[in-house]
Amino acid sequence: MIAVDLAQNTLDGLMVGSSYALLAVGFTLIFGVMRRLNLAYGPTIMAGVYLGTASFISFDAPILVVLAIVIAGSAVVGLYVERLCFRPFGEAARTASMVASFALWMQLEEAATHLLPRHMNPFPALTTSPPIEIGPLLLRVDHLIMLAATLLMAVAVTYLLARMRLGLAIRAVIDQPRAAAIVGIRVERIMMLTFVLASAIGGIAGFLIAATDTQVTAMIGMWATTKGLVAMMLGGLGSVKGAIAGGLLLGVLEAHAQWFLGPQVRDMVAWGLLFVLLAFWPGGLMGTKALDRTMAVGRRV
Amino acid sequence: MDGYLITVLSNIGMISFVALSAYILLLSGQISFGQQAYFGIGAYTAGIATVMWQWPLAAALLLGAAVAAIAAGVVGLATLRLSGIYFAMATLAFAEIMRIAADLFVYRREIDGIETGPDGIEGFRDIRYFFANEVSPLQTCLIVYAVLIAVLAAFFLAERTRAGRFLRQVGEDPLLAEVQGIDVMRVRMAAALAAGAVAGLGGGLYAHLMTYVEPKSFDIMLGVHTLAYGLIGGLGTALGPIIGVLIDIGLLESTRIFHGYRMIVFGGLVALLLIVRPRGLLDEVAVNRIQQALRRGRHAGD
Amino acid sequence: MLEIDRLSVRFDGIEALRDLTLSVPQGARVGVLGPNGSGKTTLYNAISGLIAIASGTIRLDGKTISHRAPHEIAAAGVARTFQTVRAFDRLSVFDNAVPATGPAAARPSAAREAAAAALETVGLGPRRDALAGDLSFYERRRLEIARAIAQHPRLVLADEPTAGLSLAESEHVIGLLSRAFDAATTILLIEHRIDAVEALCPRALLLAEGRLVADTATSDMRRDPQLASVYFGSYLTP
Repeated sequence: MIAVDLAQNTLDGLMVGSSYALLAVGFTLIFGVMRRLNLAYGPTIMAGVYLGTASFISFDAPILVVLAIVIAGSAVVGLYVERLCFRPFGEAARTASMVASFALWMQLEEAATHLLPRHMNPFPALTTSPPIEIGPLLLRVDHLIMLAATLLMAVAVTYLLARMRLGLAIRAVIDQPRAAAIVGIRVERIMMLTFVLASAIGGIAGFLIAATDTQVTAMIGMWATTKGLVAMMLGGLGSVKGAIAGGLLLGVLEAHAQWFLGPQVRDMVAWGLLFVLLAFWPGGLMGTKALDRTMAVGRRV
Repeated sequence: MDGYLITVLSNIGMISFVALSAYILLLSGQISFGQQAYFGIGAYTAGIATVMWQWPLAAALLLGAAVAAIAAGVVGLATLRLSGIYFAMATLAFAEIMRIAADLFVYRREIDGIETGPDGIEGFRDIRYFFANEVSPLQTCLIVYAVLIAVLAAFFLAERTRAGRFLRQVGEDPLLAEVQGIDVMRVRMAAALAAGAVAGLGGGLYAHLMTYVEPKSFDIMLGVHTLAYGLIGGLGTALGPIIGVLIDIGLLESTRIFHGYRMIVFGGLVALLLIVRPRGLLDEVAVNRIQQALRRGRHAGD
Repeated sequence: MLEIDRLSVRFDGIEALRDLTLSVPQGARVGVLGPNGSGKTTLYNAISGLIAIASGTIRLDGKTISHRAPHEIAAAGVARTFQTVRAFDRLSVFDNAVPATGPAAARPSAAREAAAAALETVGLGPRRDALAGDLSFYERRRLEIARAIAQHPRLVLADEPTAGLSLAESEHVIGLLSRAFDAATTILLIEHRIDAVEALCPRALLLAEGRLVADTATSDMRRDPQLASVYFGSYLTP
């Protein structure tokens, strides 16, 4: 029955979308403080996940230890990326730092294949419980855990940004870095902390997806980059809530597209949606910032 | 001449086209992650023209360039209003859509008793124009370079004219350019069309050189690479992106010792280089110094 | 030749220009005075088309230019300098001076001649091959003027061209503005220094809080008590 299919797809889509949402949140935090795209973000997560996988394969590490290694690994690699690609660059060299992050993307991907040469590697499962049945709908427990974890992280990040001093400092740096510096916020340190935090969040997303798939492939870096980027753009650049909404929306749309139209169309959905939005509604989900502000001079010229 | 060397040189020649394509857009102040789409459109179009419609090579290449340019124009209409990162994302989205569409694109015909043509994910095989016309690998390499040199000559001529100046002015400070009387949108559109054509031309050559293209070849990796070439080699001159290609492919092939570590080394080098020279090795400052030194040298001779 | 009728401009929630009406004949040299935030640069931005007009019209030589694109307005003969100097730093001084619009722009050789001549006039001839980014601040100010000269404009909008310059340098710049353009060119000059305005402009406008508060001979403006009150803050919106 079509209603059941729709409901099931929506549920599945929300679950998978929650991992996209986490990726998007990480991208957004970095973009917010840095004003530039970190193309090495996906590979950073890949590095963390690969380290976790290696520990699982080599020492049969228990799942919580793997999680800890993934988070720590992603955070450390994130720091490396930040030092090399973003720290040294000033306002003017945005393109250069983005390309540098791409160079590191290549570097990290190659290093990862040295660590784990096989294309597919096993990963501990999040849970082995059977799926829950609610009427005709099937809910995988590991998906539920993923959704719950995402919501928890989302709440935590929102709370951090809204209530805690560090969060306030981050928001200040996102909004007006020069003013933040003047009032005594150590902008460079905040940028670094945000970067590491975002990388760690990404690591959690990578962990969740690997643990629900119970395997890790060499494509995980590319996957994280593309899904995270699209989800972030869908939700509106620079907004954490938007990132979450964008991720969930993307997951749901993809689930439906795959069910009704096949896996290739599923991949096209994300990009097609993004392109159409950007082309015809730049003011829509994105806000008016998307349009070239050459002609809109509100500031001192 | 060593067959291996010819292959490497041919690769350098062909990738230079896409690198030049991204370079034009970089000059106009836009970052494009999607020039590989036009490379692919050119490849498929030119391949279809020679294989399935029996066109001569030159006409097929021109068709490839033209179709790619038209696609770039249409995309431009939709996207040139966008700024910075939004534009970059839109170009990437378009390129990925095209790549996935190529996975689904099937156009098969029986030519001389054999079924040929693009076959979705399997790609487009047997683009055998050069083989059928008994053109040797060395000759194909020379053809690639002949076309490349022609394109470079066009670039150098354009740099000296109004077109080149407007392009760089729009790229550096669009507001100032507008206020000086330059129609920024029109310049950007012209840049997009030119970039599409150059990429499409290269794609057509690629298809015939490789005799086989598949959608996977035109992925985001190619796109970001070609962007990197201009930024590494320098944005001060059209030779910049060529140098970037040389560094990458030259490094790849010459450092067989680094075999498994090429990207680790290259990636690290690129990141470090960009810290020191955000606009590449032959950036505008470097080119200016060289020009001034040459001028002084000439006057010293008087 | 410049007619502004009830111009109002709003941005960021403020009314930057309110109901501004003024008329400038061809060849006039008019100073624009007023404290920071009074709307002087906004007025220029409105004329150049860089900012959206809420209401009112602007006419240049009888043609309406309000709501046209900035490059069309420039092509109609408007040249502009900026309070914080703007130049194409990555291009050579010469390339910065070559006009993109104006009577010389159509033919490349004429355009290059115009640029060379303009650079000579401002004293930047020897630096023509250097990158604009390598110039000193004073040289960049002069480059902006050279750019305007090469355009052979009908209207020059000069925005604090002496800001940041020494007394001698300022005198030179004002001298350039006065001599380098032919008598038919209309010049508007935003300046804080009334002696600079006096040297070039027989007539001056006074803006305060987006309104045109006075429009008299510059010599009278000096003695006008409104000038002092506007600058020193005792002027209040009724």
